[in-house]
Amino acid sequence: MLQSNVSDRKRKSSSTSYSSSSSSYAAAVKLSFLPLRPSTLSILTRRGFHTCSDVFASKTSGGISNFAAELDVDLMEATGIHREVESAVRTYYNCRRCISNNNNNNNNDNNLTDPSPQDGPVRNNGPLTAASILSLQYSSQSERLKSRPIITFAQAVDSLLGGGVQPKEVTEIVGSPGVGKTQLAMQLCVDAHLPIAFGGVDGDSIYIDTEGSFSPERCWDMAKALYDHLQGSVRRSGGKKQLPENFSVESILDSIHVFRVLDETSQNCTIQSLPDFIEKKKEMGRCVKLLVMDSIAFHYRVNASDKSRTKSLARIASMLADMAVKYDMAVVVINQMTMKLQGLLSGGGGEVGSGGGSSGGGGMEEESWMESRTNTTNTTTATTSSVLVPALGESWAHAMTTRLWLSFVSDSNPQRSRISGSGGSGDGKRRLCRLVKSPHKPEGTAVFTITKYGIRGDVSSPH
Amino acid sequence: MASHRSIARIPLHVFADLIVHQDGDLYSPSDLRDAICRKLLEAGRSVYLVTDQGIATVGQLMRMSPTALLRALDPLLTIDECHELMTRISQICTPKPKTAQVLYSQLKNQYIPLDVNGIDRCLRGGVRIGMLTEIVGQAGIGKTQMVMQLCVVAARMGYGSIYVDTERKLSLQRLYEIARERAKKSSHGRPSSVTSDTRWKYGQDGFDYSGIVNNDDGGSDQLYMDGSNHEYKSPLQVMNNITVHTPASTEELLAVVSRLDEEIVVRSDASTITRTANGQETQQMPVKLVILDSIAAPTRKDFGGGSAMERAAAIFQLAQTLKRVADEMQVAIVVINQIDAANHGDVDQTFDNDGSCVKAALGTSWYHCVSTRIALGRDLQSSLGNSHAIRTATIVKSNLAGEDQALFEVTVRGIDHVNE
Repeated sequence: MLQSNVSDRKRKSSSTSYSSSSSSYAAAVKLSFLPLRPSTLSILTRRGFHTCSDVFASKTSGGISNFAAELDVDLMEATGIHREVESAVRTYYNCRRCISNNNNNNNNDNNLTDPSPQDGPVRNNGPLTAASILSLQYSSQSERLKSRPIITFAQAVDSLLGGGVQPKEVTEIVGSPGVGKTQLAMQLCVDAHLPIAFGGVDGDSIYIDTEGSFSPERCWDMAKALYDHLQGSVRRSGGKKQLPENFSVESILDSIHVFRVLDETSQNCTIQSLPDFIEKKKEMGRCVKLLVMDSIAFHYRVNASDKSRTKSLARIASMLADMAVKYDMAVVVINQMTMKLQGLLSGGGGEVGSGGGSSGGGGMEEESWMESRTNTTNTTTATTSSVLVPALGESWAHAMTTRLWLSFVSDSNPQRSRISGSGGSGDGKRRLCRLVKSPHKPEGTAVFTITKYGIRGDVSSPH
Repeated sequence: MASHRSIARIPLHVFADLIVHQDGDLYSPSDLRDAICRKLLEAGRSVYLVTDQGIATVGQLMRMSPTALLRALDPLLTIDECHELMTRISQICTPKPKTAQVLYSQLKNQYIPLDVNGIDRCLRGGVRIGMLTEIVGQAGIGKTQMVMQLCVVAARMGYGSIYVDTERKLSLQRLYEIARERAKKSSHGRPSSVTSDTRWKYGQDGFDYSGIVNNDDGGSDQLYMDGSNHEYKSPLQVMNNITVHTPASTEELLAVVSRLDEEIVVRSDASTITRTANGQETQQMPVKLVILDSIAAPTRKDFGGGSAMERAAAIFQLAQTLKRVADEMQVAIVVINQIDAANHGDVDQTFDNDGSCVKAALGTSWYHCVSTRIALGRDLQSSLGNSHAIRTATIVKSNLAGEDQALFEVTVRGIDHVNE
């Protein structure tokens, strides 16, 4: 019964809330929906307060002493409880204006959490149409330029992605070991610092290194190549374009902030303290435009049967997505691969960390290009099929906005002894990049190469 | 490691001025910390939270969501204060960031070369300090020879080593021989040191090498050595600066690895001159190289068929610990891996070797963990006389070097360069 009353009031008040003062808007929330301390909630419900309109009305009508009397607590505690309810409603609705009329003096002090993201306008004129949101997104040309995708330096990959790695969303890069995920990530970090006049976003990048794979030398190679390339552009433009004042190879490297995290807790703590770091950088005049996590999977795979990791990963996924939107930056997450058994277990299937199957001598491995092959194991168990899939499971896959799958273009040289196909970031080694999941662009593939200058397009085949 | 930091020992400033939902100081920071610890211990045992032993470490705390923390700490903190507490704790457990420029400028002397021209060129210097390098190849190809040489060259640069030998394959005589032969070359044939070494090994009955003059056949390439001319140390000094561990099982291996940082700290404490059992004076050199020979053997033995997940977890735990040691202690860790038979149907991750299909052991997950993989094999295309002796070293995975191949052969001096 109470539910239908609440929903009725919600519907009624929602149509009026946009235009009028919003005390009725906030009124609709049941107290049990709010993140209140359990003891606070029990005090309130025991004394007959069930929605926040009850709470606010009690204070507006007779002041805090009335509220305290109704609750049968002292003034100080009543103030505390009222403040708590207020801030909980604020968090719940992400709308400061809604309760500004209820309590003016509490708006500016002690905002321990910043409830409202900066995207999207505050609703005060009725529901917005998609067209108006699209046009409102960037108030000026300079804003629009700053929020461009970050290029990868391989034209085919950039067109695949719709210009490059998109801001405000989380892009996942998966692939076998040695295929070039870290190389691509480092290239993106270098490219993030491109000046705006040359197609970039002039931003800093944060590189969270969980495996120690960040190579400063390689970064230097890429930065130097980028600098030389831009010099060439300047020459070709006949002096019309100029490099910014302090732009140099050192300044590119200075814009990449590397956090070396050694275990899962450091990883969680680092992600938690990133907003603070980004704000500090903003105060110093530098915008962080790229966040790379290399790799998200490593520390989670240490515990084989850890069920609580799904919850932890879900939290991280949502934190990353929130940060991407709030700070208008591109978030790139690198994931590893794992063997998934099919046929043995129905439904979700189990994940086997290393060489799959139950062989005694070290496991069968195969790289299948998104199709499973039958794979017999050494022992006398039944035939199992196994396929190489991204690690961390299905729920993680759902949380990613865009997914990029890198693989090797098979090397057709049988004479050379080789381990792992044509692995290694060699000169002119070709890679295949497949866009598997994206809300903006269709599925497709692109070929790129990893050269000593970094990621480049494939010159041997036409785009 | 941050995961095991105890909540009770978090600095008090984290708890100062935390409570804002009521005026007046109900709790001093230390009382607040105690109250929070008590509540977390109780709450951890209840159903919907993390563990049944109570929450006591930062690792467990950070896995909770703020609302779970709110319920656990009721009525101490409001939701905003829970957020704030978690933020403050994160900030003390977050590593300090370094810019790429700072890392780049700290790169000097960050590798240990093999003193083999071609391979060092492929590796752009040598095995990296602070990273995990893997050497993989078939039996008898020269993996152990290579790492023994690494120990000797490390000593030449003034670094000690730790050798973890899981298969009892380390031949101390051979190690001594490599050290001695290499010391011979750069010492321009000083007979006296040789004699004293022989005497150490065989007493008076050993062959008397004094009087033999060794020709210096062309300087070794100094391409990647830094300017100062290090001389090879005497074999005695080399051997005195290598410690050998022989774990017999995976548990023992994990135990040895977890104590590595302690040993490294103790040995690197001061380059003191100590006296060994023989009464010889020797210098203690800081440890910069750790060899694990091999990683495949114990896990293969202990985790038979059917326990692939436990094995994967053990390997990941090992990889995590090794990487942490490499990074914190700034040492180069070289791991030897073996190969398994593969199906003919496997496309990648195999290499042809005299017609048979093989692939590296331990699988994809382990392969993700290494920074560099060097694959050793026989040179099938060799036309230089005895083709069996020529081997190839291929860099198949590196975050820094391109795929490249070099030829080498195994000689009395260890590994030697072969011209293409």
